[in-house]
Amino acid sequence: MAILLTVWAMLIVGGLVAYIVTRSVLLADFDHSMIARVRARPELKDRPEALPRIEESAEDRLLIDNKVGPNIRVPQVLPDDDRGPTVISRSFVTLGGGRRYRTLSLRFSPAQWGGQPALVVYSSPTDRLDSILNRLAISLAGFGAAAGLAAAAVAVGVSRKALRPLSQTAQVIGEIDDLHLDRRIDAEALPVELRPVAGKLNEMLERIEQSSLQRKQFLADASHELRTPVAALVTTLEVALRRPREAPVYVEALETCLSDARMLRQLVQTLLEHARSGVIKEESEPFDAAALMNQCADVAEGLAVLARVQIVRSIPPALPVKTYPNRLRGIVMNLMGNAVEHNRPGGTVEIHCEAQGPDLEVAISDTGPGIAAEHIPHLFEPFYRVSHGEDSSNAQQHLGLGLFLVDSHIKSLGGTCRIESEVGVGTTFRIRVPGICTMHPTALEASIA
Amino acid sequence: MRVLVAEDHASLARSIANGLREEGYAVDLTFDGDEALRWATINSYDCAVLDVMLPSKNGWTILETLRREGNKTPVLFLTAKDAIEDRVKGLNLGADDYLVKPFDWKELVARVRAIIRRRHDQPAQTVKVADLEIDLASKSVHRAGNSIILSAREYALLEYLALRVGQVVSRSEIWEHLYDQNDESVSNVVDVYIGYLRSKIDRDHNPKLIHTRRGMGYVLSANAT
Repeated sequence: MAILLTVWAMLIVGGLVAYIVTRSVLLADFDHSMIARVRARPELKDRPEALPRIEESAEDRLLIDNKVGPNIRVPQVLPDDDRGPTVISRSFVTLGGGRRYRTLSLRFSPAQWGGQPALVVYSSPTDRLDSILNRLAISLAGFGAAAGLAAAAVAVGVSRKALRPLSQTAQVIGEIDDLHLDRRIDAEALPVELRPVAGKLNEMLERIEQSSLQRKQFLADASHELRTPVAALVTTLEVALRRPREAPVYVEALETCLSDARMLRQLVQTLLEHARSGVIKEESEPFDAAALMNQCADVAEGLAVLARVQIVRSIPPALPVKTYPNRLRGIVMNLMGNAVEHNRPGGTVEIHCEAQGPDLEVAISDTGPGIAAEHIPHLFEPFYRVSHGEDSSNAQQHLGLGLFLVDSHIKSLGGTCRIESEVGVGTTFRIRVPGICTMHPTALEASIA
Repeated sequence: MRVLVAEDHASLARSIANGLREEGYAVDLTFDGDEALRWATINSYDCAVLDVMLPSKNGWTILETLRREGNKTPVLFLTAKDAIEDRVKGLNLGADDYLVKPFDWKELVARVRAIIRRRHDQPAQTVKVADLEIDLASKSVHRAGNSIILSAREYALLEYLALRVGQVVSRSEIWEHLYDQNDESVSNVVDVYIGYLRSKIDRDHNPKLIHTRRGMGYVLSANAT
């Protein structure tokens, strides 16, 4: 639209300029030829007094007003370098009959007139000039209008063509909802300037789709996981009730059901915790990470005694940090619990933590059976379990969610986790949380900021 | 009838196995996919109840492998996934039926029974041979209008013969289908139970319905030849 207005303005201005320039040129030429005709009158040279006061011909109208001086004298010879008369005024006049005249008032100097200044008012009809100028004006206006219309048509056509992909794009975007997150904008159909925007929008849609798919997958897996323990409860109870039984049989059935019910409780709790972890705003606070690690190691020792596993601590006396204590505790407790469980009698669990610059490094190692390389990339997936072929009543205690939660917590702290494992030797989980150690100057600045 | 149950959730697996045994089936139970495939290949089951998600080998792979080897053991899938695609996939691979967890016990039993009936081409709920009537649903046996009480083993043997009525069934087939892995192999136990059956069903009645075919096995039939 702005371009169109600019084009129109340029057409108008250009037309006006062309008209004005041409008119003044033509007019100047007209005036010049009028003056030349006056100067060429022979009477000017010879018998100025014979010049009529008023003379009209078909072409011109000559009015000589020599009231300025009584006598008219004409020099004998007009000097060669005679400068023309001074034009006193120029105007247009419409005389009787409706004809338009160009009127020049010329003042002849005494040298030109024989000693007396004289005023000559010379009028010449401007019919031809006017008709030329009219034709010029009309053609310019016509051309301008045509050009303006053409420009408008082109502009409308071009912009509509450019806008159609935009309105198509808008329609595509309007159709994208939860069910149709796989739609993308066709960037190629858009004008070049808009392609980067379209590209970024598509990237954003991709991220949203991935996140939505992950959430759906998690929900599907979670509800799938809930069904099996429920089925176990239902089937155990139905079978037990099929016929009258002895008390010990009922007791066994009840105990089986209790174990499954506990598993369900744990599963529900974990799922809720995962669902909440994005919502509840826990406070990041300064505390001593070394003390937290020691607390976790104390709890783990309780478990370790039963499993005949030894806890080895490599914890500095103090490690001030600023982060979310409950999440850190969740991570460490979970990993230590796993390390104690996946171990061999007489084995060890080592917990090592230190500050590396502003970053916190925690390593939890076990001397357990280790994890084969093909499982390692999947370990943090929800519900992923590595079966060792033993009696699966053990395996069923592992819901496969512990590591998923650990990973979720680590990510929420902005940290990373590396797993090193060797089958038959053991496994180490190495966690790094950057920027939380407050003893380090840069972290201090960050925590003050 | 012999049934294979493969389910990795231990308490569910045991409850299914116990329940089916109480229904008169011989049940082999495993928690592992590889073992399930191995047993299904070696042994001859009348039905396999397989969880789809098993460790080391999932139910679909087991089914595919069995069918590829020409093994026609009927399979009932148990699963927590109820999506249409999963159900169709199982059925297209050659499964005979599909149950979504959690299920009703009665439904599981009914479907297993139906699968076994179809396997033996026995659409009817009752088998009639002369004046012997066996109601497969209620597991009741009548001859000449009189009710005959059989022990679980006896009924299982009669049921197997009835499902294959008119066909000669070898001793080893009977053994395969009535006894699970944990039963001790006693060489003449089949003969002994045939004897028990005859005494209850044939002794006081005519015509005799349980026949011996020398060198081949036994047959339940109204014809002596």
